[in-house]
Amino acid sequence: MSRRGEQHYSAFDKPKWAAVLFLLPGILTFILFRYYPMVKAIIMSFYDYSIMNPPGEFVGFGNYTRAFQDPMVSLVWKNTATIVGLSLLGIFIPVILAILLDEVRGGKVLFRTIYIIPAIMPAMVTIVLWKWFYNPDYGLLNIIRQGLGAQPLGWLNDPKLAKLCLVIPGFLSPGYTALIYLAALQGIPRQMYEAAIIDGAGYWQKLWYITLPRIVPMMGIMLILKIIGAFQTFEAPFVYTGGGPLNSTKVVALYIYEEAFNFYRMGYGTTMAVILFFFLIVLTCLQVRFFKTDPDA
Amino acid sequence: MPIIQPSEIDRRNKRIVITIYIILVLGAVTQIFPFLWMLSSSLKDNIEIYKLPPKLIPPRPTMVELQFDVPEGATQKEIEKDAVLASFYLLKKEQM
Repeated sequence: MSRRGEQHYSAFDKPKWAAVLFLLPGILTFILFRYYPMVKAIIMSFYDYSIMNPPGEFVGFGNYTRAFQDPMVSLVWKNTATIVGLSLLGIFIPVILAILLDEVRGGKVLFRTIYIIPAIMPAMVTIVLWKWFYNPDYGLLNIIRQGLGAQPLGWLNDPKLAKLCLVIPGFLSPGYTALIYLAALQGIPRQMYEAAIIDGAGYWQKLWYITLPRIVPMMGIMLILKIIGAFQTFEAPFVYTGGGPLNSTKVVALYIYEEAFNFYRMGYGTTMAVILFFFLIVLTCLQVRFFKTDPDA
Repeated sequence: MPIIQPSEIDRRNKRIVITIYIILVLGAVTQIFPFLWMLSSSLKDNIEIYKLPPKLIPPRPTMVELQFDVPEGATQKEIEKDAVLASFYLLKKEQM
């Protein structure tokens, strides 16, 4: 296949030193800012870390045994699992939205813009806005409820409702994920639909036998990302409730933050971060094994 | 690719397309409304923002808020003078 004068590159060639030099800054910063903190965190978790006199006293697995006995740890894991479960209720919303948006012909740009705008807004803006909606005294939701003749609710102040309240704004801004599904939908070849039409398939048959199988791999990937993201939720509980009421929205990441930066128990905080990290690794490996990610398999 | 190909827009498919448009328009309301609410809140002052029932279009949109720091027992004339000065400074600042 090769003509004379063309260069060949293969993995077994001698390294091209110029290329290595160009790659070096990227690799070095990546190691420095990604892997060094990771390794450092694992090391810190074996110490009763003291900021004034690092690294403090070596305690071995002391932090870990403490974390497994701490009643607060089991509570925050339960809270996090509940929030993950609740946010998984909404995973089909972006899929449906993408399928609907793909069908639009007139006003295509208009509709897509409308649905993508909330994804462009900074997360904090959405959170502050919704916090205002949820306010029990002058929030919009309670005013609407009163207008309909219903009792006002406590929303974020109600330990039973608070977790759901954290998740609902996420359901209502499916734009970003829908954009990814939209790209997947656009990758479906037209010939498949045309062949289906010749075979006499209707709308629902095409949807079920062509469209959905083609985006299932993408759904698997998004599910993995969603679960990882949901286990790491931090800013929503931090801004909405700060962990309250009655610790009902205190999630793992928030507890890590509080232990490490409010009480300066860096060792204990990083221990829980390391536990979360290994938990997510195991969970993701299991998920990758369960979901096929190859569309033609 | 859209599921409904251009070649097969018959009566039955048209119904589906219309349903899709209706759902999307209803959904668009949920997307735009928070945005509009944010915009309207940004045009309310600190008192109006707590007013019940809230209005989407504030009756008196506020973009600039002035606070007067007048001593206790100030006469109406002094307050007015301060107000004029404050707005004058603002005007000068805009001109710079």
